Amino acid sequence: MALIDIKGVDFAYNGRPVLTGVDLSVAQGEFLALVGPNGGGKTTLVKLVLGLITPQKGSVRVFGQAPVKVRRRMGYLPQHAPVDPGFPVSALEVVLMGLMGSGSGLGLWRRGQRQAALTALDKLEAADLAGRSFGRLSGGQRQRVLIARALVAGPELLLLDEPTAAVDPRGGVDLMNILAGLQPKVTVVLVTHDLGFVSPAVSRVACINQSLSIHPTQVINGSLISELYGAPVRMVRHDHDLEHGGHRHHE
Amino acid sequence: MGGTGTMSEFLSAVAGHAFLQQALLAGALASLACGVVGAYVVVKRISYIAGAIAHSVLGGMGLARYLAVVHGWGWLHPLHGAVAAALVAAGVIGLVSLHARQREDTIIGAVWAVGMATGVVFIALTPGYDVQLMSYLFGNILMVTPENLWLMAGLDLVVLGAALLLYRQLLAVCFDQEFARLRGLPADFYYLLLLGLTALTVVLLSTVVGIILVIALLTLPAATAANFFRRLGPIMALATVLCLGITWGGLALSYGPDLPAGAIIVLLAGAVYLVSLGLGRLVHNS
Repeated sequence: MALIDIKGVDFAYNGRPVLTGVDLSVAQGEFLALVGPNGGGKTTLVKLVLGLITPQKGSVRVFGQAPVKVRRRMGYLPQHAPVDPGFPVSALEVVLMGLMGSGSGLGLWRRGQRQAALTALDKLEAADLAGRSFGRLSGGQRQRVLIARALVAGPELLLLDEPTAAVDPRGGVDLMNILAGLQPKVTVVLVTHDLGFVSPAVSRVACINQSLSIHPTQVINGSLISELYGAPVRMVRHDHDLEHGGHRHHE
Repeated sequence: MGGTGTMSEFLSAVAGHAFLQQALLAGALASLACGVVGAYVVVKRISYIAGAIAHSVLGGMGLARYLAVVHGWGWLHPLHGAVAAALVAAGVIGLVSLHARQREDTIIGAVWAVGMATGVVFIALTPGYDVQLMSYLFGNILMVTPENLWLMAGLDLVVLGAALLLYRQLLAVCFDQEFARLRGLPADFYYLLLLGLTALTVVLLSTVVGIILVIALLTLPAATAANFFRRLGPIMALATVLCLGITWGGLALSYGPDLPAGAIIVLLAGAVYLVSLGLGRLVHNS
C-alpha cells in the first residue's frame, strides 16, 4: 500500500487552477523531492496531504485514510514559520510544541517530554540551541529547531516545505545529510525550488507546475528543467558524497 | 518630603477606612488576572480585540443597571451585565476572526462602537445616569463593595485556573495556530477560550480603571515585563507584580490631591513602561 496516494486531484484558489489532474503515489521509506517554480502548486500539494485543504476533484489518501485522521503520524515544516522575534519562547519550548496533542496533560511540560525534545534537537545537531530564544536564532538555526519540532513526535511521514530557503549552501548540505540519515524509517517529502539540493539521497523527483511528472533523480537535466520552468534555467549540479561529506559542483 | 508625607497620610487613611482596604484588595485581585492574561494578550497581539471587548462592556453594564432600576431586577448588578457583554463580544469577534478573517477589523470596530452605543442609550433611560456613566467609563475603585470583591475573586479563580492549567495549549496556539491544529489540538477552541479569559479579565480591570482605560492596564505591565524577560512564565510573574505595584501606587498618589485614581493608575503604567524601554535595552546590552 502506498503511504501517500493522490488520484486525479484538481485544486483551484478562487477559481484559479493551481493543480490539474495530479496523480502521485509515494511508497514507505521513499525520499521524494517536489520541485517546480514558485506558484506551481508545491505548497498546495503538501497542504492537501496534511488535510489543511481538500481537493475540488479527485482523492487524497495518506496511510490509506483521510489526511485529517492521520495528521498525528506526520511531521511538518511550514514554508512560512512564525518568526515574531519578540515571541517569548525558547528553542526547546518550540520543539516541545511538536508533542502537543500526545497526552492530554495539564500544566507544564513533563521531564520525559523535555528529554524527547532534547534528543530531537541533538539529531539536528542543535542541542546547544535548547535554551536560546527562538526569535533570536539565525534563519538556519531556526529551521533546524522547526525540523526538530516536526520530528520530535516520531512521525512516519515528514513533509518539509522549503527547508533550505533560509539556509546557506553549507547548512543546506548538512541538512540533506541529516535527512538522509532518517531513511528508511521515515518517508520524506521535500519541497524545494532550489534544484541544487536535489542530491543522491533523493530517490525520486516530482516536478510540478500545475500538473505533475515524476522522474528518477538521474534524468534531471537542463532540457527537462527548461520544459518545466518554461525558460532556460542555470543549473548547478551538486554531487553530495554522503559517506565522506564531500561536495562537488558541475555546471 | 512631600511624597513621604502623602504616603504616610495614605497609610493612616488605609488603616482607618474600610473602603480603602477594599480598594487595595480589588487592585490585588485585578492584578492576578492582569499579569497572566495580559501576557497572553501582548504575545498574541490581540490588544485591539481586548479594546473592543472592553468598550462593549458598557452595553452590558447599562442594560443591567436599567433592568435593576427601572424594572426592579434588584439582584442584577452592572458587573453581571459586564461579564455577559464581554463574553458575547469575545465570542462574536472570535468566530469572525476564525471564519471570515477579511472582515475582522470591521467587526472589531463595530462591536466596539455598538456596545458603547447600547450602553449610552440604556444609561440615558435610567434615572441618575451621570455618576454611573462616569464610574463605568473611568472606574471608581474607591466605590468597590464587598459583593464586588467576591465576584472579582470568583472571576480570578476561573481565569487563573484556566490560564495556568492550559498554559502549554495556550502557548502553542499563541505561537503557531496552524501547527497546533495539525498536532490534533482543538486550536479554534483554545483561541476562543483565550478571548473568553481576556473578556473576564477586562471586566476585572474595568472595576479599577474603567472600560475606556482598561486596555492600558491590561497590556502595559505585560509589555513592560516583556522588555526584561524572554519566556512567558517570568513575564506573567513580573507583570502581576508590576500591576499590583501600579494599582496600589496609583491609588496612593491620587488619594492626597484627590485626583481620579483610574487615570493616575494608567499614567503610572505608561510611565513605568517608558522607563522599562530604556532599562530593558541596558539589561540586554550588558
